[in-house]
Amino acid sequence: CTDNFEDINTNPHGISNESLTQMNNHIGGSFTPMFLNVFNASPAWNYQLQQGLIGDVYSGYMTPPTPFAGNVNNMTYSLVDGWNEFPWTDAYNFVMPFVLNIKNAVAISGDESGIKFVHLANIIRVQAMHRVSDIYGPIRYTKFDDFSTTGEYDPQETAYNAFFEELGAAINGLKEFESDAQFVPFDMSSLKGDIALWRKYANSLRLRLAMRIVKVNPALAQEQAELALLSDAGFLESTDMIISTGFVNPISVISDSWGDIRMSAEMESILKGFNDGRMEKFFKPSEDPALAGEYKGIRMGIEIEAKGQYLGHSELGSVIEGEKIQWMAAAEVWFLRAEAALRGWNGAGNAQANYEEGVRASFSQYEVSGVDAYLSDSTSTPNDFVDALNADNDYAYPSEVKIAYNPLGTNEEQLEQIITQKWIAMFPDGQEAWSEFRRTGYPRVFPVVINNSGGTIDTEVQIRRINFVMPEKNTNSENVAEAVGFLDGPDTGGTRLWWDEPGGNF
Amino acid sequence: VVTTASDGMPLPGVNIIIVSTDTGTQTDFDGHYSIQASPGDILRFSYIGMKSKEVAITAASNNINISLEEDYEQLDDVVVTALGITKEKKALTYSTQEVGGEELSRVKQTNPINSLSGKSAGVTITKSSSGLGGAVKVVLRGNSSTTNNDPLYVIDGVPMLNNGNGQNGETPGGDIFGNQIGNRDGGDALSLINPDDIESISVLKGASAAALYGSQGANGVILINTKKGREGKLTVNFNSSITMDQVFSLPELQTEYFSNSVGQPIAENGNVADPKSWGPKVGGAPNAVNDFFRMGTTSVQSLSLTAGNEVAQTYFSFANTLANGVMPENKLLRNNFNLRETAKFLNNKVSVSANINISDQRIWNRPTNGLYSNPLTGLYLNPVGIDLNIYKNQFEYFDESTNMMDQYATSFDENIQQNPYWLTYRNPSKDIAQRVLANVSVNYKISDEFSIQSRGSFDKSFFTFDKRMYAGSDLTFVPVTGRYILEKTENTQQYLDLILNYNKQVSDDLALTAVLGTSMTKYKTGDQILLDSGIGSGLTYPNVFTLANFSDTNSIGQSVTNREVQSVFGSLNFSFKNVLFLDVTGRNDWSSTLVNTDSNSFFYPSVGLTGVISDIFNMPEFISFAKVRASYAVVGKDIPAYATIPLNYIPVGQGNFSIPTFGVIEGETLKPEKQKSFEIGTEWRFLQNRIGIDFTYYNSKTTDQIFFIEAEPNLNGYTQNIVNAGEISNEGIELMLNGKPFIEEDFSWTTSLNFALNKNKVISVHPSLKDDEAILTDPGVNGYGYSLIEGEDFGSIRGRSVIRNEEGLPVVTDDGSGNLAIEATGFETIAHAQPDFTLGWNNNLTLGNFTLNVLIDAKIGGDVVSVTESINDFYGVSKATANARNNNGGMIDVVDVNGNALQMTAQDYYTKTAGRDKLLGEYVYDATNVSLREFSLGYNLNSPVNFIQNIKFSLIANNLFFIYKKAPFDPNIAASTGIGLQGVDIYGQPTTRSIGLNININF
Repeated sequence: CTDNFEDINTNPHGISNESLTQMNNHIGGSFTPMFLNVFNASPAWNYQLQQGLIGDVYSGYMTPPTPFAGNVNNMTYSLVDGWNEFPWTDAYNFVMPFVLNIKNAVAISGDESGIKFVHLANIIRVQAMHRVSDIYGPIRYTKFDDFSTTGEYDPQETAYNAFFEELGAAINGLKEFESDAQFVPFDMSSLKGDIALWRKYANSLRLRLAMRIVKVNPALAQEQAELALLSDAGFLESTDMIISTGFVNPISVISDSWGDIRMSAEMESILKGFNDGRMEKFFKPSEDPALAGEYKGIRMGIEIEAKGQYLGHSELGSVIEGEKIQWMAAAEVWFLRAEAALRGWNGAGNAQANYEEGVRASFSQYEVSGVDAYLSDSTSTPNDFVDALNADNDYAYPSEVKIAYNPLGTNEEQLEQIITQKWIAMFPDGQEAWSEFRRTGYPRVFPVVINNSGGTIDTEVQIRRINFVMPEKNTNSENVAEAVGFLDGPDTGGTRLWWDEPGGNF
Repeated sequence: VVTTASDGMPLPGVNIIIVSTDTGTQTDFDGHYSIQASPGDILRFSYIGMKSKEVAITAASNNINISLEEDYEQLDDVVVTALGITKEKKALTYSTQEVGGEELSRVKQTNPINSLSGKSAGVTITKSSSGLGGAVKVVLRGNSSTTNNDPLYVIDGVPMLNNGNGQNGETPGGDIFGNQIGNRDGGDALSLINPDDIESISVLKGASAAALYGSQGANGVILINTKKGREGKLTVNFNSSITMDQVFSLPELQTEYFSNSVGQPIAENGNVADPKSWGPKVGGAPNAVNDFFRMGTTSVQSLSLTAGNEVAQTYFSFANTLANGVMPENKLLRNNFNLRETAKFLNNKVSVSANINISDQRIWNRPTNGLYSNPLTGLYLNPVGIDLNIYKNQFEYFDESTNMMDQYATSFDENIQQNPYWLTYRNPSKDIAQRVLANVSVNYKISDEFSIQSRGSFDKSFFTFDKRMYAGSDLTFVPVTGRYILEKTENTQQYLDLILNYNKQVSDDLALTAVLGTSMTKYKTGDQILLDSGIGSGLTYPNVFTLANFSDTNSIGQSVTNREVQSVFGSLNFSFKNVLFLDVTGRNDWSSTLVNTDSNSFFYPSVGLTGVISDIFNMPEFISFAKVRASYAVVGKDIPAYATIPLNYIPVGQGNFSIPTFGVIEGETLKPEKQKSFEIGTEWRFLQNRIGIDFTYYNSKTTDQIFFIEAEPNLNGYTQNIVNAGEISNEGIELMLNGKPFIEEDFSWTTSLNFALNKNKVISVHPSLKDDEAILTDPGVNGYGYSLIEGEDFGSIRGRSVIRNEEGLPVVTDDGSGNLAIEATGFETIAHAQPDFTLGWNNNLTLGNFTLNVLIDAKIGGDVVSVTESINDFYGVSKATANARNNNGGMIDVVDVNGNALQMTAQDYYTKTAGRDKLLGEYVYDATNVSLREFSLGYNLNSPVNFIQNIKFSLIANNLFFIYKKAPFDPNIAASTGIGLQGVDIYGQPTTRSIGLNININF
């Protein structure tokens, strides 16, 4: 009598696909892991490895006071494979399979209106995967959904083309669902299931990605940007794309509880130099009595003997309080529009006006006063950085960039203003800030003092990407080898991505 | 009184007859007898297992005390084998070894299985480093499986459940350097057995011996036979033992080079300027380590009663164990009750036996290992020159801003230097284990040839783990308000069998025994409710440890493993002229874990042949006994529960469901693991059994192992695939030598030597794996990995090492600024933990009323890795770093890649090579060790008063000292008794020696 063996061998604490169909969770429930893992919400150490020790530090936003692994780690350009696989595994464990789940569930249901869920899932997938691609370059994307080809990589260009196609399809395809409320119970974001807002968000994302490829393919960049600029969907202008995760923001755990992240030198130079009121929102005054309550940052890639040395520097501030993670600030879109205007693209409007709208949006987001005075400040420049403990780490800020928009400056000067303000406004999304720094060279992120890369990463050129991850190399080595061929150099942190062309921006 | 010659114990039930008459009697339970005889009569004393003795009555002999000598050939007559079937030992076709209860309880240990070490060939015992009541890892004839190498434990014929309450390292890839609450040892059910209840333990090492247990016995079987009541008047045995336990073999720490913190101000929270000890040479720092450990005590009081008549017998025992560990605040309290009733009905045709065993164990502050939440890290790494007594006397301080106490510690760097006294007093834990084991057995003798037996057992353990971590503990693991963990786990096993026995003397020459049986076992293990306030928002009100005070439920969970196995088995034993024996067994198991595979049933056969050549051929006089034997068996193991039904799950505190993380490869299915084994052996005894040799050669191949491998890219989102793959072979020899050099009236010496050599090899792993390496523990960010690699021994410890030139000097590269980087190898195999061979030498000397037992235990070969030493070096607290600073001007000679001689400071060198994530290949030590495992000196006091039969005093000692040892810690102790983490020391509790006194009184 082995009839009940199937029951015995079924984990009573699991949840079957059949059970998930209740309340449409087989579709809706698949959105939750995506919402919680594009930026990993919990546990905090997962976020730390997904972004905290990659984009958040390479963008010049934050620096750990902790000499992890004897100070031989990502910060000193010794790339730690055991850390750096997390952006990849989070995406391929929690995003890609769930998008496929949704597609399959919709296909099985036969309900044609289910296509809206596919479009929404695709928007989230693009949001997740462009970030992954901007870390490693080639990713598994267009061939993922087919068992026989799922291990194959796309060159980054192919992936970006797919992003544009999927965003375009979503922006158009969702139009007829603007009054549909079926997504409301599943939407963990500030868009609250409003499909019209999701179209705006997708359109904003399209502009972000279009701008990213402006150096490598200006024609396509302009084409995609203008599709966005002229779309009836519009952009995020006052609504920020923020996820309510239900978990304490992991950065606050890393900063407050663990003492493993602090203000960066660049943030100190720029915010202090600009007398920027947002500094009090972003950071807390130093606890180190020797610093007398000043805001004090740490330069990345320096000699650190013990955690205690820099531990008393500025912690992260109220910006990371609460149970929220920001995917896209409306302010960022204004700056994208400013750059589009600077490039003279159709529908972009005026660069200075967009720039100022961006700064206003950011001040208003953080409820900081004095935006008018700030925007008219035409003298303040970033401070030179002075290390609190070690003069070897001092660094003169290599630019005189100012706040008040100067429409008479060169294109490069105007772009530096736009990107520097965008960099401040996007805080604390270090991944996007690092990508834009690599594209534009702005703001002036400081080079490392100690370079343990063994010559693979040039100190001045700085890190351009992360090498492919160990789990893939172990299990998918042939396809990884092919993907290395898609790169413009060896599989190291020194090789530039497809969109990362050296030289000027214009 | 009739006693045994070997140990002077009274012998009950000895037949005494007057030769050539019908007159006879038996001794009572105390060996007393009385018989009417006349001078000139001859009394014959006979007893199974003893040589008969005849004594002529003389006129004066009113009181004849006799001691009977053991007769090896007869003593071995009957042994208990699989399923409780008794067999003549000479008919066995495989190797088995029986260890008597007295051997086990002479020097008591809190886990009775520890006492097997050195007493049986081919049994490797590894203790857990968690001290009192900790689990034990037992491996018979080498590791053969990737999932589980634990033998099956059988109590009085019924398989028992030995699941504990979670064990770090149980699953490969588990917490390597310790999780947030320390690497826990949940203990095992075996440690709840009262050693005094054990009559004997038989070890069935090979698959042939265990084949009748099918899948459960694939790793061998340890049969535990417990005591039962005997006919006769009430007898009482009281035993009391108390031992003092003391740590030894501690890491060597330096007291010369002070921390740079010395002389600097200490912050309000106790933090010092520099937590490492790379400062100036001053000398004379106190060594606080010895102050921390205390003298442990273990006292075991046990009482047993037995009484009965011909129809019914009762055995009752009670044991109380009270122990104080060597770590402060570590305490164990255990009570065991055992009641066994045996009775015969219907003219002795029906016999019934019922047994209930209840135990309750509480352990306070069970030591953990690993880097976190372990007092030993902060203890060993204490900055040299900073007086730890300051931190002992003031482990907390009042923080005015929060209006509560906070931890006072030297440093919170890397989270591994919490104040050891804070962890002791403000992170207390309590482990409760309770167990009920009840079984009933009914045997009905239908006729002389047929009998039928049925047994049922119910085995249930309850475990509670309660840990309270006060606010002020390291914030990485404990929120600012504190953390409370309450975990309740139950393990249940229900067993029922029905066995038909048939015995037939077919002809004068041929006898047949047949057994046909069926059994069903239901398991519900790890049925756990975990309530953890977690590391998020933690508790609402600080330091109030109750469920209502949880601020969120993100860290609670629930789990259970269910499994059911149904079996049909049978065996046929042919005996030809009582000199040639043939055994054939077969068993078919149906396991619930095999649903959704090609078949949920699997069959295991075994065949064995043995011949008593000393009875077949005429042998010279000096050969008392000789036999040869050979057997072959196939056994197997089902697969992990639920593996074939991948289900979405709701991960704790993630707010969403998750897709299964592992599953079978698309288009594949799973099948049971299979082990084919072959053994031959021979037994010889010489010179009236004064010398005995038992030799076994075995060879086993385990195929279709269960591997969890990294998944190739797939649509299911599996990160791991579960596959059948690989082959692991074990081959070895076991040699047991027994000798009785002296057997004089008042002086005897018996000695036995157990030798076992095992070679194991990974023949293959899954073909998809890169470099033929199955990674069980990925190094990740650490310097340690654990893999199975084709062509290597089971369990390759992986690490990196310094690259050295021919002269042994480290090779470095200069980055141009004078900063020297040490050239290191990639990850490579640095150690295999298993010994090449093991040796146990047991001696028993009797001189008059004195008995002396000495057991020497040796494990030769194998290597172990010390993460403790590496981290101690990194912090500059080890003796090794002081020596390096004292020699060569404090410089380490190195060469650059071009061979130019350079130097680097000791601090620079150790900072770059030592630490958890660095070059652990530099911290590999030979595991070879020889120890004086047990020592006891006993004195038998002849009854001073009438109602006391016998009193025996013994001086006992366990683990007295190492005769030889290279490693900086006791290599017989493991960070885990699970499958991973073998041969690695990560701040485990140091080994202890125990010395004490035992008193045994018979009433």
